[in-house]
Parts: sequence; C-alpha cells; structure tokens
Amino acid sequence: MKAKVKKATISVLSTVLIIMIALAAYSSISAASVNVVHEQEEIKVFVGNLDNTNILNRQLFLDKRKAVIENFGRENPEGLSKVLITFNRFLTADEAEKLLGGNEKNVVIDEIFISIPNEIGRSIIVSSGQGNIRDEIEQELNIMIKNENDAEIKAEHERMKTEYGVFAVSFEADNKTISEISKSKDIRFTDMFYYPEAEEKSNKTGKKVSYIALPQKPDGTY
Amino acid sequence: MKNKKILLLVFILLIGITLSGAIFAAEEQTWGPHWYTPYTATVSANSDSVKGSSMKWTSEQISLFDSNDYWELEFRPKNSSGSLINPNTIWVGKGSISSNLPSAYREFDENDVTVATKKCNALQAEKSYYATQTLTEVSNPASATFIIESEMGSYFLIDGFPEYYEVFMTNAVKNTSYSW
Repeated sequence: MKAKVKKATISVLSTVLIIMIALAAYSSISAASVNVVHEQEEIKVFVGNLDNTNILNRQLFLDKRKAVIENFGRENPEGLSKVLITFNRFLTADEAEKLLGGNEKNVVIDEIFISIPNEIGRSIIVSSGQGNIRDEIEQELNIMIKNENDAEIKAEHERMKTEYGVFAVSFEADNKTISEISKSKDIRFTDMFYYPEAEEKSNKTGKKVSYIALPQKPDGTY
Repeated sequence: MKNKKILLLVFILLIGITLSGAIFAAEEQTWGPHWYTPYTATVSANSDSVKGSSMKWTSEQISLFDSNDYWELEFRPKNSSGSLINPNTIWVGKGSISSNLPSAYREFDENDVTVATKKCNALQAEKSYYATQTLTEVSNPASATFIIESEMGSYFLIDGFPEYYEVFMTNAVKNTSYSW
C-alpha cells in the first residue's frame, strides 16, 4: 500500500513538473515572438501592442522590450532610434508636447495617436516633424473634414477636433533621450521599432519587416 | 511510461504549433465575399485618399473571428501592362488615418496601401464602419488602376497563422467608388 501511494505521488509530481517545464518553455518562446507575424510576402510587427500577450508571457515580454531600450541607451546613447510611447491616461496636446520636451530634446515626432475617450476608433496623425502637436492635429483633421463627402463621417471628424485625447506618440530621438523620456510617470509602455527576432528572420528569408504602431488606449477601448 | 507519453504529446503539440505557420501559405479565394469580408462596403482609391465606408459585418461573421485575427482592405496599384507599381509613384507616402474600426491601423508599402483593423472580434454587428487614409499626390502621379483585396491574417500562439484573401476588383479606376 505504502509503495503504491509513493508511486502515485511520484507520478503526479512528475506530470506537474513536465507541464510546468512545457509552460515555461512556451511562455519564453512566445514572449520572443509576440507581435511578430510571418506573412507570405513580409514580416509584420505590431509595435506597442499588448493584445498578443497573456498572463504567462506578458511580464516576460515587457521585460524584454524594456531591456532593448536600456541596452540601446547604455551601449549607444548618441545613436538614433524610433520608439512608440503609450500613455497611461489621455493627455492634452500641450501635455504631450511638454513631456516630449519639444526641440530642446531633438525629438522628431512621426505619428500622434488620438481618440475620443471611451469610444472605439482612433485617428493617427502623421506629423511633419516640425510643428507643434496641437497644430499638427488640427491641420490634419481639417484636411479630413474638407475631403470627406459623407456627412456622418465628417461630423465624426468635427467631434474629434474638440474632444480628442492623445494616447500615444511615435518619435525619433537619441537613445539617451529616449531612456529619459521613458521614465515619465505618464508613460505606460515604451516600445522600439526594432524587434531582433523579426530582423533575424528577415535576414534569413529576405522578407521585408513592416513595423506598424498599434498602441493600446488607456481606457481599454479599441 | 505514462510520463514519457505525456512528454511526447506536449513535444509534438509544440512542434505542430511552430510548424503551422510554415506549412500553410496565404490562400487566395474566389470572391464571395467570404466570412471575413464585410458583407457590404463602399471602397475607393482617390487622388487624396484610400477609403472604405459603410462596411458592415453580421453577428455570425464576427463570431467566426478570434481574438488574434486582423483584417485588411488593400489597394494595389498597377500600370497599363498589369504590373504592380510602388504607391510612392502616385502618393508622397503614408498618410493620416481616421477610423471607427477597433484597433485601426494603416500601411503604405512597396506594393499596396491599406486600411485595417487588428481587433476583428471587437467589431459590432450591423455597425457601419469607415476607415480613410488621407494621402497627398506626387506632382506627376503615375497612371494606374487598382486591385482591391480583402485579406485576413492571424497571430496564433507563437507565429502567424494562414492568411486568406479575396480580390474584389482587378481594375478599379481612381476617384471612383465601388460597392458590394
């Protein structure tokens, strides 16, 4: 009887250990490939996206991405990189401008992500890299309004003009500046437009890597 | 013996998942539209934009998406010989986008311009969706017609899953709206 109990216990413990090893291996492998999609013609990377993570691999993924920023900041502080910063609340245009430090920090903005809080949908504003965030948003929304023939969609653009909040910005700056900006208490996640696993696959297959910024909104809407 | 069987099963499962992305290639389907494509939409490639509007999915269609599926409306310019051309011969580069699609994004690549959603399972049945990528024409834009495609892909566990796509039109004219 004692021998049977001992045998059963060892079996259960062995099975649990095997499952834990498999889960650890899976979470490690999957954290390495989060946001990277291998299509037939290209490799897509959804920068800033956390939807493809789960309870097993999210922290591993976030730690990996944070390590990328820190390594770049330490090993090549003067080198230029492009990043996407996602805020933990909606900021006004002026608050976003202040956080990025404007021309003082040699930050060149690429895209500004805005949305009406608590509503699905977004506008992604391409920046000229020269103007200020508030003006760039207004200018682009005015172009959308002017070009739109559908009255309902036009009305949505008008609403966006007066009700938007900024939830993310992508920009280029030197790595030291990126490290500093990333420490802001208003930033939830800083992700670089560089995924080593995607670049390695690109070198092997010859496929181009397409980086697509897809930040998450602080209110949980899509 | 039992433990070895369990270990073997887990190993086979992991290998299968890893290889699934490599084994399957993108599959072109004859225009339906199929389940991943909005059952109705109006689409156009214009001097100042590419857009989709009045795009609707049924509840049945949406139930077939899982949390990892993304859908793209692609515009591929081609010349009079039928060869694909780079969109940067028509427009300056990527443009701003406005959309009520969940997790909307856009692309401006070497052979296509796209509006898309990364969160298909958050679509609402019978809601009218729009997505417009606002573009600026170059000073002497290339003459082109457009292939208009509906495409879906999926991120699954540790790699991409097979894509499906169907072609709505092969010779769409600029500044003309088409509906299905």
